[in-house]
Amino acid sequence: MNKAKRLCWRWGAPGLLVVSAMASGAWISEPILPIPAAAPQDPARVALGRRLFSDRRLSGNGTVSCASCHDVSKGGMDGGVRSMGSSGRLTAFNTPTVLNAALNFRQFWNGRATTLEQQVGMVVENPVEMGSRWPDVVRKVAADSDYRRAFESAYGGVTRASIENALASYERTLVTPDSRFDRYLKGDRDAITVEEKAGYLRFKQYGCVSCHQGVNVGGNMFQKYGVVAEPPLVKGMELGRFGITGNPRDMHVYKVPGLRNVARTAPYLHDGSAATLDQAIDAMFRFQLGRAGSVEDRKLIAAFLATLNAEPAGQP
Amino acid sequence: MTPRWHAGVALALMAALLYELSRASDYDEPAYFADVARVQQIRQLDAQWEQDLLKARLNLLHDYDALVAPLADMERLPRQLHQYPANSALAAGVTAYLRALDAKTELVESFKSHNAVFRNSLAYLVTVSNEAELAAAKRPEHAGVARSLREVLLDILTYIEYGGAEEPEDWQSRLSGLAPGLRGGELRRMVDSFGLHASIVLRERAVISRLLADITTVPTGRTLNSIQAVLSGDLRHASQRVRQHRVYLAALSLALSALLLYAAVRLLRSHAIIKHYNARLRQANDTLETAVRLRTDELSQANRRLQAEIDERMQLESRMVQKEKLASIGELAAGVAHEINNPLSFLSSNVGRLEEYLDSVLAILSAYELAEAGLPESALRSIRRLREQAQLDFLRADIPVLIAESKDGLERVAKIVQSLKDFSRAGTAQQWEWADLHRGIESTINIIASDLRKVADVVREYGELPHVECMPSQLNQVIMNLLVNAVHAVGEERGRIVIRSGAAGGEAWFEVQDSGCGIPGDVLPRIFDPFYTTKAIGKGTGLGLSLSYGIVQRHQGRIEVTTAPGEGSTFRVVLPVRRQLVAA
Repeated sequence: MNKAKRLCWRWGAPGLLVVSAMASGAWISEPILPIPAAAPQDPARVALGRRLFSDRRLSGNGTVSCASCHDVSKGGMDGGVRSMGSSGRLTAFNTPTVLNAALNFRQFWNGRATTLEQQVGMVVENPVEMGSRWPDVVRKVAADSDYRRAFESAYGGVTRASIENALASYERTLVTPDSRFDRYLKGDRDAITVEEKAGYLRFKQYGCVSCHQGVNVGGNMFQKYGVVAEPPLVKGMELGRFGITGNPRDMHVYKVPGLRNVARTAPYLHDGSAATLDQAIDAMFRFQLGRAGSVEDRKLIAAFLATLNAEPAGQP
Repeated sequence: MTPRWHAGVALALMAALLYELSRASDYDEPAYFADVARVQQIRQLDAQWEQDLLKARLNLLHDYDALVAPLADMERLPRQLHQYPANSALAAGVTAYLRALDAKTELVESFKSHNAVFRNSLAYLVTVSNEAELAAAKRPEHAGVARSLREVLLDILTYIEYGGAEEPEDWQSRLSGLAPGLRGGELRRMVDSFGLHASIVLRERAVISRLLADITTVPTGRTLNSIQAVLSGDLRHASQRVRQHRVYLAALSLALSALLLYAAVRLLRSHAIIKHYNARLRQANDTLETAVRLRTDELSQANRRLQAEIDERMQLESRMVQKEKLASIGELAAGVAHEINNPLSFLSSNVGRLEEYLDSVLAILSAYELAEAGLPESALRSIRRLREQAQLDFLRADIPVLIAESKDGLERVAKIVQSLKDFSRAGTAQQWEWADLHRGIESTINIIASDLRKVADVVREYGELPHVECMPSQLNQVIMNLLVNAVHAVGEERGRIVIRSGAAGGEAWFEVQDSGCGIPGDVLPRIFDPFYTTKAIGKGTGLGLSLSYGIVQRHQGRIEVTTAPGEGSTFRVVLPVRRQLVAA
């Protein structure tokens, strides 16, 4: 009895710890994390941002607004392969969704903006996209007495920084917590179906989760498109992050997109080359994972991905 | 060394002091510690970052959010350092750090990408191996292939885990050795896939190892050290400056204190000087007071002397007047005495003769009476009638009385005339001789002893008295006058008369004190006037005191009167012992 007790004493406590960690901490060790409650934003600034978001005066010729390409009701993008800017030319990349953009570690496919404000600043002056100049934008916004009053009270005046911040504040409310999968992660075992659970398992087994992880199921790292196999190059496409860093290592390297609401944001990939989710999953199997996924598995994975859909919570 | 100079120096020192104080306080020590805390926080984030990186490498970290999270703070914090970007050294340090952080971030991003691929391929190797095992379970001829795959997998895993220097070199040949036995089919595809992913695993493993090595060489820590060094340099510099300032402050305070001390010394000195002058002033004042007092004393003394002189002069004047009065009265009296003297002398002789004659007549008459018996009756009767008519007996008795009275009256007149004569020096010249005044006093007392005894007790308080050169009978008259006056002064009740005498300084004196009524103030100036008298008419001549005055004058002496109303009077006669011969 003494010996047994001693053993219990010696091994019992650490053993119990390991077991309890495995049992109760099941979801803690999951590579995907639920969206936490968003930091509350200044309502006046959010309101300003919401209004600016669909204000065409931000473009040089008054033809497009942010909402032209980022339709919040359509999953935060326009559904096109690439989008038509104010210039009438097509954008360089497939429009990424504005939903959960606040959760991305960088903005744009090549990650050239660190913050949402920077992203706004760049888009406005991008000749293809909004084709405007900031002084003009500030002047036009300031000419609107409603704006002027609202900016006066929210920021003390209309400036480039205040316009950028207003838009970013609005975008920070465009996160979509409380998806079914998040509820599952938070412990609601029945929030997703058996098939969807199986899809999640496949998602992990195939290694999708190696890049699509974290709160935004991606959006927190870069990855080369074509790790295992060379994908067909779309003509005229930029060479990814290489265009920013000039480092050969960054050739064809893009920001891994977050997969929340992915089922609603077709077409896919930076060049919009995957028209459907299935095609996108297949492309991943082929070029990124270097393995052939079965149709069954692809269906399961797609089913799982659909559990990541959710509407923006907005702000109470 | 004017006060203005002082004030200027003090102001300059105070200004310097304030300037130093303001400079000493411009280094913000809490800000330094806040900065150090920031750098420390960056360090911790950096360390945590590297640790998470290793976790990801060891597949202990399943998402990369943790590798992203610290970046924002790591980029923000250095820009929040207080002296950034004003302090150029610090700005350079921060720039170097941010550059290093960028490089590290790039490496970390690269690591994340490669690690994901590495993990996937490694996982897939295991999957393929398991699938081969499953396939071999159905087709025993494939067991060798499955075993070979497992062996290669184990070699690769071992190499990965334990980091052998050389990767298992023969794995590709070992895999390709399997290939000839497999013509197409699933197993063939598995082996090819295994080969592909094995090469990916080994390639990525090498990349990851290189990345991790590169990451550790990124000088974030070093740049943070240099930032820290700048901060502590600043602190050291600041504390040096503070020390220096403290020295300056001490020096300035010392200078101010010295100035203050100097001012205090000056003040004390001024005070001492003022005190000294004050003392001198006081002394001078005191001296002045003394001088004034002395002078006042002198003045009052002089005044008194003057007053005495004035008094003396007035006395002299009054004596002169008295003398003049007496002189003129004396002349008058001498004239009168002379005129009266002649009739008086023949009256006296006639009365004397008349008495003799009457005596003879009366004797004859008595003889006639004896002879009456023989006379006829008728004759006798007419005689008797005549006798009765003439009251002969009365006559016989009255005639001697009348004669005696007349003689007495004549004597008195003669006496007055004699006094007048004496008074006016017209009297018989007296001889100067050395005499004992006590004898004169005693004989005079004897003369009026009966009057004295009636009214007063006579007390003698004689002192030592030398013989005095004088005219004794005249002095006797003086004594007599004084005594008679004293008797009169005593009045109704019995009084006391004290006679004193003495000598001092070549002078002899005697005095008569009575316990009488004293002399009223208004009377006193006139007591020596001739014919002035307070006695009832007929009682005194009014010449007594003025006669005495004249006599004493003649003796070159003086009469002093001390009197108070109701307390009696004292008349003192002071005489020189020896007569002084003056040019008369």
